[in-house]
Amino acid sequence: MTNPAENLSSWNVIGHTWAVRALAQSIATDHIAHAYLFTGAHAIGKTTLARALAKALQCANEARPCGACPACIKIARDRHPDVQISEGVPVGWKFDEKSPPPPPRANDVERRILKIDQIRAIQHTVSRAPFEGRWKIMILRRFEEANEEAQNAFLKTLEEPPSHTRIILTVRDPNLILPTIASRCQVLPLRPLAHAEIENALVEKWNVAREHARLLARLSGGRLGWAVRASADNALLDTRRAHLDELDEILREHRAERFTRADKLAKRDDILQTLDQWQGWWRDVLLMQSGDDSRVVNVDRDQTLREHASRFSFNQIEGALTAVRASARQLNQNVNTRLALEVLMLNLPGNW
Amino acid sequence: MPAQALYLKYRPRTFAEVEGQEHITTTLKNALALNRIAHAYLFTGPRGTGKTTSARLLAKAVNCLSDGDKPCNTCAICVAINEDRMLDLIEIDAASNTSVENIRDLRDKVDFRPGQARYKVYVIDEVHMLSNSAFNALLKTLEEPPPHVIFILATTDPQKIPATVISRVQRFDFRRLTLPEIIARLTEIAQKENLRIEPAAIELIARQATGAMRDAISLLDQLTAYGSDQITLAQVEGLLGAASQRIVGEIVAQLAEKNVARGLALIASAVDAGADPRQLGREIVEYLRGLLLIKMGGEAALTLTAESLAEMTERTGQFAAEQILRAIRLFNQAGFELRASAHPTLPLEIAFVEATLEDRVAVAPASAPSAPARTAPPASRPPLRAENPAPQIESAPTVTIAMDDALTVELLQTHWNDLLTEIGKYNKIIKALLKDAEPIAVDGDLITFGFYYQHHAERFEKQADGKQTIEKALNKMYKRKLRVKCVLSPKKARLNAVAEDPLIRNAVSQWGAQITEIHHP
Repeated sequence: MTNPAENLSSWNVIGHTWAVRALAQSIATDHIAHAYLFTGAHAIGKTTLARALAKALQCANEARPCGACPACIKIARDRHPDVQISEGVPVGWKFDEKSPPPPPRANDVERRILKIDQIRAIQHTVSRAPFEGRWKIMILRRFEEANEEAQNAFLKTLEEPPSHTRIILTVRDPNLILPTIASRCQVLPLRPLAHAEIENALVEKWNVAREHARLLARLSGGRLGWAVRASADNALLDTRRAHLDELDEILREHRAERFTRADKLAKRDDILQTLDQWQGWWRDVLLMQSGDDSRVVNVDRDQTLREHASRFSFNQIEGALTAVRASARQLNQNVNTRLALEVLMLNLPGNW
Repeated sequence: MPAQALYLKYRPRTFAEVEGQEHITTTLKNALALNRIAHAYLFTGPRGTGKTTSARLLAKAVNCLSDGDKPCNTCAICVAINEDRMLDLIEIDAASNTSVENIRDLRDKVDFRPGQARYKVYVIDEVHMLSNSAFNALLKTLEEPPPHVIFILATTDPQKIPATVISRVQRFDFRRLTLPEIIARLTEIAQKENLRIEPAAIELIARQATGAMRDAISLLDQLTAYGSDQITLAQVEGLLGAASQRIVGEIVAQLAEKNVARGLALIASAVDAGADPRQLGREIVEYLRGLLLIKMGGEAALTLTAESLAEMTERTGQFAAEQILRAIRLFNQAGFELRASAHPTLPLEIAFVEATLEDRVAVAPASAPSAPARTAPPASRPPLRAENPAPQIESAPTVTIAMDDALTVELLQTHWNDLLTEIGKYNKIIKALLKDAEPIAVDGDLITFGFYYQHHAERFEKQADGKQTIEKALNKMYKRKLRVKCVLSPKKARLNAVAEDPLIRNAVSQWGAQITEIHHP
């Protein structure tokens, strides 16, 4: 038996080594499960891994996946007739097998839904023998978007699919799908990558400057996909910078000014994202103050972080963090945006 | 041909193999022996507890040709069912065939007699997904099916089944499997498959499955697939993203010692080592739950090795029960928030910080300023916030207080409302600003006012004739030339600082307490 751990690099997956090794091993020993479930945060690499697994399953070469044979190339381009990657249709669309909707937009705020019609179509596809590959592989991305009927309709297929079929589901959070779905799959919970891993990958594969890569790696929260996108799209970092500058200003402002600010903020549609970034920033201040600056995320703002860590007391910082979290939670629960933000503005520490 | 999934390979083939559901298998066996088979059954219970398996077993048993134990797994019918080629066992996936059309179709075919077997058995799996009208279309057939038909409905979700259906069937509730039952089954399968696996690894797998046998066997399957010769605890931890029990214990220890920096570092290192943040949160909660149980004398409910029990018992001494409870709540909450958070460890970190923080306050409540107690404000001093904004009542608008003795802060305080009224005659804005201020010091002819809030002080500075107005009013009241200086009130600043304290912040926001005095500044 060849040791499959040797050629892990041909999988071309950064990080998730344990998962890749496990999959390679099961292919080598012919223990391929009929259904896999990859879970993990957005842009962490679930689809990348799914595609790599599909290549490894279909690849014609001895050392699978080779990445060079027709099968591998077709899968990389999403052109393989026996590997189907699908996800729900945008809300309001009607599913039609012949004209599939465009893939999700990169910013990933679009809501989609996977309905039972689509599952029936998939069941139909699955029932047919593979056309040219070894397997019929169905990759269902963002399966948490499947509604309850669709998930239930998929249960029996998932438990005992036709013998030539392999199913890969990707889900952000296993709690968002029926437990009966998860219990029928082999679950691989993908974890955030280490900062260093992302940093090195950015530098080596995407030619990002070291310093910039360091910041992106930390901001990504272990999600390589996000880091890569941010390295190509400066807008992501620019808005973040604007949001943090804004927080800086707010902390210097007085109550009356903050109320005007809350009014303006309430009209923005990226307010949740803003609050998220503020949370991260306050976390850094807290870390700075507890004397541990090795895990600070916003490394480019080292100076202001230090400043605020010494300016505010531990209780104030903790209070601010709690306040930002509370407003994010409230906004998710659909309270009056402006009211929630006004409360937040009053709860952030200041000079009075 | 790839290997079959273990949970399919080891689907029980006799009632005796169905683990942990004796209350059901015994009843069914007795019914078979007495030939008192009902025409419709409903099997409910959580995932992976044996519903579909039992349904197939029952289908085999009622049709089995053997005279002895049923199912025998040797007669033609049993073999046909095991090989999935029995035409009289009809398995319907109700989740994909939800509509009333599907049920009408079924109803039309029910009347045909079975081809080979004695009974035609309809297994309707995931039956909770049938539409309302589909259920209703089924009612009459379910109540009085032809004598050669048996219905077995299976579902994880009995609440969704109409009462009219439930009353027509015999209902059996499958229960979650206990830890020892799962461990026993896994060990048995491991032996049959010639797997070498550490007992501790089996235990972790069983724990992770939370009572669902299929989950447990899937996990075992997954490990064998990835496997080397021996399955170790470390491999299971790696696959599950579980942190080792030792790290979890250390994190909890830092919680007891309130060492924030070290605790946060431990959480970070566990996650860097490959632990899933959510799994880590769950493990911390699980550990704390253990501590709580030990504390409350309920360690019998725990299944732990002697050494970890000893370690936890020792650690229990470092905590008060309320502390553990609070920490459990905080980490539980963190578990929910981990789903939405873009920062993978942030909720855990916050939970940790808060758990230590509240401890710090709770441990020394005596020294903390007693905010909730509403001590009456001293009579001589006006309340910090002007609670009676109607000062006109007491005195006539123009009060001139002729007095020759020295001006003091107390005197100014008693005349404060009059002074404000007087100032209000010249400039309403300044009067309003001064409502949140107090006299602090009198030094000869220099009077110092302290504002409670910085922005009030700044607004005041911007008023062109601010000081002159006050001086004019003072001049009128006290008939002497006085100078005015305005600063930020230090007392109020101190109060604000106290108000930042989480315990007090809580008292103010939750119970409407007021901060009136600071006894231990």
